[in-house]
Amino acid sequence: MRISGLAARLVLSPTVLVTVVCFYGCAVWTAYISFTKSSFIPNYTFNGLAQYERLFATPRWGVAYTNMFIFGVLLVVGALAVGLLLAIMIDRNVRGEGFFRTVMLYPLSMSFIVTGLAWQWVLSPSIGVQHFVRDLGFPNFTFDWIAQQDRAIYTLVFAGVWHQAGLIMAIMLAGLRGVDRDIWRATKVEGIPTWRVYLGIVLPMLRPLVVTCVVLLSVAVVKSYDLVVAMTGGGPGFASDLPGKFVVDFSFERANIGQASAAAVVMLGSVFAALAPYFYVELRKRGQ
Amino acid sequence: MKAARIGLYAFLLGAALFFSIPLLIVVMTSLKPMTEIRTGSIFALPLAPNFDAWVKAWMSACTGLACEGIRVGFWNSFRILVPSVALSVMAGALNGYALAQWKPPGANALLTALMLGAFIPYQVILYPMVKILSNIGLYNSLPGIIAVHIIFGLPVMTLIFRNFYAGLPDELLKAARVDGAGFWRIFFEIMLPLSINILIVAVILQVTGIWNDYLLGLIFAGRDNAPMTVQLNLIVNTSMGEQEHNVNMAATLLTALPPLLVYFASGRYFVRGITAGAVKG
Amino acid sequence: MSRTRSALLGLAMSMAASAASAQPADVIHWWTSGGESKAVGVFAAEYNKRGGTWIDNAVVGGPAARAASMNRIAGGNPPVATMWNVGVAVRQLAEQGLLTNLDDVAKAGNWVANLPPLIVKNISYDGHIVAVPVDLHGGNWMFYSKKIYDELKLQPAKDWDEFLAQAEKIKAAGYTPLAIGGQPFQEVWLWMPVLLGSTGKENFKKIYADHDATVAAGPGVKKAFEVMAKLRQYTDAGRPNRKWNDTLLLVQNNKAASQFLGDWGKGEFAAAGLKPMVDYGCAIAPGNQGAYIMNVDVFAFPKNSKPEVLAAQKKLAEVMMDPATQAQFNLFKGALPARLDANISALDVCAQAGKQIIDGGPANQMPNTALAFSSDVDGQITDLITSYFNSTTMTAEAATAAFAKIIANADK
Repeated sequence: MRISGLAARLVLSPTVLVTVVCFYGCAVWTAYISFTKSSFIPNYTFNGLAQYERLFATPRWGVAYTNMFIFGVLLVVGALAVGLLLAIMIDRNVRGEGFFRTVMLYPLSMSFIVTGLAWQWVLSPSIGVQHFVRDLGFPNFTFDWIAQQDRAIYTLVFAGVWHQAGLIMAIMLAGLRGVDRDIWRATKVEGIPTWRVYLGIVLPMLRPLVVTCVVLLSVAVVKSYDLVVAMTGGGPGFASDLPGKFVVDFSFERANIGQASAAAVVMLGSVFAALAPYFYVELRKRGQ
Repeated sequence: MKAARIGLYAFLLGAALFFSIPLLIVVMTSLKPMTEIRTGSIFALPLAPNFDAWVKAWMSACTGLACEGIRVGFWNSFRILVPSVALSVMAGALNGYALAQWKPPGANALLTALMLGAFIPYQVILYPMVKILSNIGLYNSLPGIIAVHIIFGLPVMTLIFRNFYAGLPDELLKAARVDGAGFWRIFFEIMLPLSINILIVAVILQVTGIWNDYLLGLIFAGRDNAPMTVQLNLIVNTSMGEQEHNVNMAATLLTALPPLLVYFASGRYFVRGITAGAVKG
Repeated sequence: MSRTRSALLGLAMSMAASAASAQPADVIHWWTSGGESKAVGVFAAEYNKRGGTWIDNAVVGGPAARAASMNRIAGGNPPVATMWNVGVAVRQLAEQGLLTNLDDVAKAGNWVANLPPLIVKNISYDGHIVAVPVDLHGGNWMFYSKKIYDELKLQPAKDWDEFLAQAEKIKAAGYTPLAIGGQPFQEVWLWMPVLLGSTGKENFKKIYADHDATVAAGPGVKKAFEVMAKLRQYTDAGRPNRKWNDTLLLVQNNKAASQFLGDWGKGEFAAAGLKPMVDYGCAIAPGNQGAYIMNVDVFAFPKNSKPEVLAAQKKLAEVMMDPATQAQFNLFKGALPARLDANISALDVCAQAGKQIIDGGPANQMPNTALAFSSDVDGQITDLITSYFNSTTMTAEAATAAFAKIIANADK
């Protein structure tokens, strides 16, 4: 029994090592670089907060940073809402459930690159929806959000929701199937309208699932670099830029690792600050 | 009542259409000749569908100077995929089992740390990771890119299996230990057979994630092992004058096909697996 | 008969030679469009002919290619050669001691005497030659649709006001006056000729070469921003994230009247079998007469301890700087050879016109952003231009002030 406890620890030790070295070691390295003057190649001379002062004075960073919250919140809320709605609809004993599920799930198998390209075609004013509707005989129809500075970010949300909603639907559907049949029977006897049962009884029961979904969606938000690059390239101008793209541009194209690192640290810090306490509490609660 | 049902189906069909539009456009365009693409709408059905673009994409599309099509990358992707998926799913299962069933000291701390690790964007880790891998001689090699996929897969894989195993009754482990079974025997003889559904979910997630990866493959695999996605990007951007949209779309589809098939073939198990695993949160 | 036999013999011999000493050279570059691929094929063929083995390593997009190079250098597995835009960035690489010294090859090939001084300055570090310039692009060309210009009886404009007046006519006739793709660097390609045409050669040099912030805050710059704002109205709706070569198709297919980009655009026309001044027009941008904004691609050779790699690097450098090879290369690339002594009689009329400007001496040779600034400052300018060009709220005054501030903070 003792030996077995040791086995568990042995099995986990490579993971501990990888977590410490690859995730946190690299993050610490990045944090250190953000306090140096590194441009092209790392330079380890300490340089104070200069990179951060410059970062916050850069208009492009302001846009990218704000976009992270717009994109993040809307994608999480949007995918949750759409996914849940679809799950509820599919759960109403529909025919061809397998077909609907498959059609809604398949986007998940497409890479962000493909997703971005496909939606770029569909939304492009010169070949996509706008062009199509105009050809149908509505010459004044306009749908050019992807070309509008203040709208482009929402087209990214749109594509992101398309990509992720199926997964949420699958998870929520699983949750709905787990709801005790007796609850439905009881509420029917009481004569409570269906929508109130969902809102008041079923949804609160799905709370742990929502947490799982928020985790998965947040990871998708942080890793959405490919989507931006393929779909808008951060444009028009830098209106749909996101911190991930800002970091890559500055590390490689701009040859300014110091500035890129400062941006990465602020990005990481914000995400952690928003999520860490929440997760810790949730995990503790469930661990017991 | 009847009207409500009709409304329900109308909504679902509308949603299905919305979800399939991008795929339909890609498929239709790949079946059209260029003349039709130039003049027609992207929403129009192909007049005389044919697979010429598919053949060209597979056999002879140009990536830079070489014109050998996208098939070169297919085998590379395959060689990366199989060991990466097998090892990362195994690692996740073992980790989840050790964390949830054996509850070693610091299990929650490790889990929290791992989960936060999932939020560190790749871009932050790339440069130091290159250094680490080159120091141990794995940079630009097949084992190197496999190791990278396993490392980046750890957080989510561990989390999935940990949640699943945490939902199993504690009595299972206790009884087995009374019978004298050790860590490994319990894992292979009791836990794994119970985990089929969640294994399917994990495999599907990893197959799509790893097959679709571009950035890691570009940086860590080296040109001899460049996966299909890297080749695809080259083909789409190597244009001899006019962009051959049909060939590009066909190449895109060919690249997206394996995970797509996995989904169409096993979507049912995916939902079932999620029901089995994720319900507990 | 005998000719065939000797050709076969030669082929057999060269194959034997390459089998004996096949110096493999993997070369990272981002030339993936039609004309570019053909051009790079010239180097590959010549290198293989001289007994080496060219391993093509095309990576899509400059940033990704440079990232791949940097990662491989950092990872201790550098490529034999890697392409770069000439300028401060290459000197920074050399400053870190990462590049092979090419002094002996340069001396043997008499490079310095046969290159424009600005280029020599930018391929050297600390008195040593560290990179091979392979082409000399003009960044201030206007490519236009002969069909549309002939139909509307227009001549290429002599200044930007005239261009704007013409644009109004072209728009009225149902064409897109100005083709541009919504990628930041394409907007910068438009910006440079607009600035040069609005502020004049002298002032352009003061800003770009001397980093003179007072001139950068002056009326010429403000005028340039005003022109940019007006030009925006003459673009088409398909702009977002469109690649430059796709954009050029609009001009090729006579849907758009003109596009401003470097002479690499000709490579695309050539790949489509179109001839300059017959099927399409080329002209120096409005107000840019007698000025050539130089844009130079170089290859750098990361240091390597293996002697066989060093030998491969030197052979590659020789091949790339060979006047005949460079002339052939640029036939496809659309540029002038960087070597001024290369025979350019085979090049097209646009290139001949460009060569005349270059031969006018250093007063006509303008630096582009990469030659003038570090990639960091280059990036700040790019961010400003792209946000201004896509914004409907930013004023020309505000943009001018922001521009002057960037120039003032740039290293001298």
